Order: sequence, then C-alpha cells, then structure tokens
Amino acid sequence: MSENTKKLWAEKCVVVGAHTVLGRLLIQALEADEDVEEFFVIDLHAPENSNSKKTKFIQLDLIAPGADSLLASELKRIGAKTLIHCALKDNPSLNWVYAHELEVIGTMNIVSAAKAAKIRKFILCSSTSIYGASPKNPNYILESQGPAKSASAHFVKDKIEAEKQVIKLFSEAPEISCTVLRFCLVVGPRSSNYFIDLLKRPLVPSLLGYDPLMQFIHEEDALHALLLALRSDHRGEFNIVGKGVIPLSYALRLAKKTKIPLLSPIAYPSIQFLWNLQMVAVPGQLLDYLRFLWVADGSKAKQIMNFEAQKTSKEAFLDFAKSNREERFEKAS
Amino acid sequence: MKENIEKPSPAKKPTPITSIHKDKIDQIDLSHEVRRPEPMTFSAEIHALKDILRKMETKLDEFYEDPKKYDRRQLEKLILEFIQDLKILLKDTGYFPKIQAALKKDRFKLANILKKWKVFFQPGEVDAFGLDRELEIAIKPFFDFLYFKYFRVSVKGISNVPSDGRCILVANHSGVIPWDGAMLKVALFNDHPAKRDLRFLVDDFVFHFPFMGTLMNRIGGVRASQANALKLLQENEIVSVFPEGIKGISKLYKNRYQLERFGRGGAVRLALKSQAPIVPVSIVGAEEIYPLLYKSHVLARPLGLPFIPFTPLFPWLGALGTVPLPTKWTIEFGEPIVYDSSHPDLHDDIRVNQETEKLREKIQAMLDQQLKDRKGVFS
Repeated sequence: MSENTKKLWAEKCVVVGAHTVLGRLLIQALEADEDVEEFFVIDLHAPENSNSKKTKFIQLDLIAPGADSLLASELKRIGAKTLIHCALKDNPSLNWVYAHELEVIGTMNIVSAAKAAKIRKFILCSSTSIYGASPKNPNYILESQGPAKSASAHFVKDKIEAEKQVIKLFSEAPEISCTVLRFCLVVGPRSSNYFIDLLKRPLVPSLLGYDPLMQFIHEEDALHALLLALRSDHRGEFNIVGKGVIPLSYALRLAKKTKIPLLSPIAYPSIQFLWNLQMVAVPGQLLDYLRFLWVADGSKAKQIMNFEAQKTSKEAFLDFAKSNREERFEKAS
Repeated sequence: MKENIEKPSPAKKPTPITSIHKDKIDQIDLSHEVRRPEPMTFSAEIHALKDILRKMETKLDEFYEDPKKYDRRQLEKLILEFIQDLKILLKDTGYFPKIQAALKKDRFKLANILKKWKVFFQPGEVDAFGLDRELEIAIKPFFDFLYFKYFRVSVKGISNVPSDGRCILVANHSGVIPWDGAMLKVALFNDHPAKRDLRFLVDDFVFHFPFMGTLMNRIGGVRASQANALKLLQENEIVSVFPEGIKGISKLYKNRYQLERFGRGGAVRLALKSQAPIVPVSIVGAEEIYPLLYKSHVLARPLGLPFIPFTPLFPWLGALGTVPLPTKWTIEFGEPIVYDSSHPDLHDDIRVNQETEKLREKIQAMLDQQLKDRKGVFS
C-alpha cells in the first residue's frame, strides 16, 4: 500500500513544454527517476537529448485552432493524472504576437483540456516577474500581493494573463489540485533566460544611480521545488526563491562584466531601439527590472511545502558565472 | 638601556626571534640605495626589547588573573620604555626614515587612493534588507564629525531604548534635508551601551530618484510600508518612524516645533501588531538648520520632488546653500509606551487614532519642555 501511494505521483505525468529551462530539467529528472515508469511530453518539437524509452512524445501545436479538444482527447486517451505546464517562455521574443498566442491562448487551451479530461493535478511554472518591478513594492513580496496591475512589457503581461486563467481553476474546478509556482530568476550552468542572455555579453547596460537587490535561485533548487510540488499536493501559489539577495552591481562584479550606466530617460528608448535590431537581450520595458525592487518572500513555500533553497542567491549566481567563463574560454581556444 | 646602545655586545648569539625581527625589517626595506647596516650589530638591542615584551606579557597575565590588583602605572612605564627603545633602534638602523618615505609614497599613489574610495564604486555584499556594512563603516567618520563636532548632539534618556529586542522610535521630523534620521542612527550607535542598529523607514518618493534611493537603502533605510516594518520588527530590530513625513520636513520657519498630523496612525497600528514598545523621541535643533522661508510646489512638480525650499542661503548660494547651520542639538528619548495588545483590534480606527493623538501630544510636550530649557539655538 505504501509503495502504491509512493508511486502515485509518478503515474501518467504530462509535461507541456519541452524547450524551457524547467521543462528540460524536469524531463531529465523524470528520466533518471526510478519511480517513474513512463511519462508524456507535449510540444511542437521533440525534446533534445532524450533517448530514454520512458519518454513518450506527443506532437501537438498548442495554438492551432481546435487544439483544446485535440489535447483533451489525447489526455483522455493516455489517462493523464498530472499535468505540469512549463510552456511559458523564458525569454522575451521580438515576435510578441506569437509569444502572446503561445502563452495566453496556449494556456487557455491547456486549462480547458485539463478540465475536460478531469485530471487530478495541475502545476504551473510561473515567474516572480508577474509582481512587477516598482519602487512601491515591499522588500519581500508576499504571494497575496498578486500580479502587477499595469505591466507594460508583453513578456510580463502575457504571463499575468496566463496565470489568471490557471488561478480560475481554484474556484471553477476545485477537484483539481492546482499549484502555481512562481520562480525567481533561475540560474545555473544549464539554464538560460533573458537576464542570463543579457549577462552572456561582456557589456551590460544598467541604469545610472539605480542598483536594485536581485534574487536568484539555482536550477537544482528550482528542480527540487518542482519535484516537491509533484510528489505531494500543495494547493495555492508559492514563491520559489533562493536565500538572500545581492545588489545588481555586485552580481555584475562577480561575473566580471563591464556595466554601461545609462541615464534612465535615454536608456528606455535606446535599449528598445537596440532590441528591435536584436542587439540586446531585453526590450526597453523590461529595464524596470534592473531599476526597482521585485524580491519575493519564500516563507510560505518553507512553511507549507517544506521547501528551502540550499544555495544562496550569491552561490547560485557564482555557479552560473563560473560556467559562463568556462564556456567563453572553450569558445576562444 | 642607553649603555647597551653605545656598546653593543656582539658576543651574544641571536635567537630565532631576532632573526624573525630581522626578516620583518628587511621586508620593509623598499629602496636599495641606502647601505644596509651590519646585521649582527643590533642583536643586543633586540634582546633588550624582547625582555621588555616578556615583562609586559607577565604583567598582562597578572592583570588577566586579578584585574583589581593590577598596577597600571608599571605597565604604562614598560610600554613607554618599549616604544622609546624601538624608536631608537629603528632610527639607529636607518629604517625609520625609510618606513616614513615608503608610507609617504604610498599615501599619494593613485591606486591606494582609489583603494580607499573603492567601497563607493564597488558595492559589496548586503544583508537581507540591503544594508552594506562596509559602506556604513566608510561613511561613519563624516557622520561622527557632524554628531560630535558640528551639531554637538547631547542625548537624554537613552536608557529608555531597550538593549535587545524590538522597539519603535517615533520622532518629530524637521530640517529640509532629513539629517535628524541620520543623527538618530549615530546616537544609538555611539551612545547606547548595546550599540544598537537603527533601521529607518524612508518615504516612497526617494526610491524613484537615482542614487538617493540606492544610498538610503545601503545605509539601512527601508521603504516605509507596514509589511517591511513588521518584518524588521520580527527580526528584533529597532525601527524609527517619522509619522509627520514630508509635511514635517517642509514646515515653514514660523511653524517650527509645531507637530503636524501624525499620518494615518501607522506607528500605533504597527506597535499593536508586533507588540513592540514605542519610544517617543523629540529632536530639538534640527528645525533651525535650514530656516525655511518659502516653499514652491509648482516648480517642484516637473522634477518629481515634493517641494522646492527657499531658505536664506538656498538657492541663492547654490551648493553652498545646502550646508546646514551649526545649531546645537538635543535628542531626548521618552518613557517607552507599551500598548495592551492582548486583544488587538486593528479595525478599531477610533482607538488607533486616539492613541496616535496621545502620542503626538506627548512628543509635543517633550519638545516644549526642551525648548524652555534650551539656552540658545547655537549654544
């Protein structure tokens, strides 16, 4: 009996989104896990580097017309129990129309398919960026604050929209155990997101006179939190963050980067211009995240999920900086 | 001792310690122009120094065992003797001028000057709320100068601030540039026996501006919000609140020491929630540092500032006008107020407002008393 309950979580998992940081990490972890006999991956393209027989790939375009009914019938066919939605984009995209379709319409399709297929559990991998960066934020944002009222960047706006649809499940489908995990910036040797893309170049734009406190989580810790949420049911929203904070300028110093301080009125349009030419990794609107506070409080996850990050923000960032240097060294030699 | 110097006895064998000394002195030697003295000549002096050091050690041991019996004068005499001998030795060996020259050279090297100012350009690690200890230590001398020499702050009733545990300081706010918050922090560090840290709550608008918000955050300021203050109090910190806010620092000179409305009762609500005692604080002297004759809200609007001050010196003298007048300050800490928070009814706005009004009257009474006792603004 105890073995059965132990393995219950591992039955019929469906991972949506195989090409995001967390999706990739989760697929690797599930492949390595002995409890898991088989699991399913839904994406447009097959996951890379997965030659395990456990992985069953289902090709499906989430934004095609009628994707929701198709997805629902697929979920019913395989008898899915748990759905992990990792398909929210890690990086802002110049093609924001497609990004909007994928994040908002895609999530809508996934949510309605999940309701129709009567799955047991739904996990969404969201981000703490939905709180928005603002001088009015408290130093540690609680889950109860909710998403920002007015977000200017499409990257954030779409995530807020997507999350709202999942949160509706709490009231609309109370039989589904629904968990929303809000990760802060995931860093590590295998991760990539807009902040890391920004940092992979030797020159980093920054705003003159602003030096916000930043928060990072190591990818191993992020994966650990995701598996915790998978193994036992925790209803609600949780901030998944690393321990402690480091100022942005200190982080740049640790990574041995040169920062180019820009006057903030000039910085927004010029960075937006460079973004349109794809010469920097962030659009101008996301510069708020290098200017104001958006640090989240992880005490709820500690209390309820019993999750505590093993690595501090600084250690996580140093791990990334080290691997980045090695990468550059290999490229150069 | 002097005989020893005139007639060195080369017969004695150098002990290992002497050779260590010699090595250290060799390390100091930077230039190769000056002729090196004979290595064996001064071993006797070094021996003598060692003897004195040994004597000092035994004296210190005695002191450690029984502090009451210890003879301070004897130890002082030994230390003086040691310094004298060391000086003579260094002079005779020719190392003293060399050390002096090396130090002088170092002081004017650009790299060394930059190293001293490094902390301002290269921020280091911070604590959970953004306080940078290195920066705090680096700027402390300046604030100590203001505290001891410029404003000559005298402190009353500092024992009312608890030595450990949470506490809320509620003070009157004044002066266009809020030096009073900084002086309160320095007072708690310099004059409180437990050298307590102070976290001050800063108004929102500061964080919109470049440099100012970052600097405030690095020296211990936190954005004023109930969530932040509560989290700090839960960690048993001292939090200072200036409930008058912007209205306090923008008081005209003719309205000085007349307390404004105390916000929306946030301080009392905080005390009820966190069960922390409130210590009322009155600061006298800060109102006269910038006598505010007129303030313009219209001119300030495009800059995003709350107001633009006009004092006898500012803006006529430019940056010189921002120098505060050297008034004499007094900071008084009143009796702590502990609220009965056994049944905290946070929605009882009328009670919160009544308590806030009582607190305001108490601080006003403290201010009036201090003003009556004060001899003059500058003395």
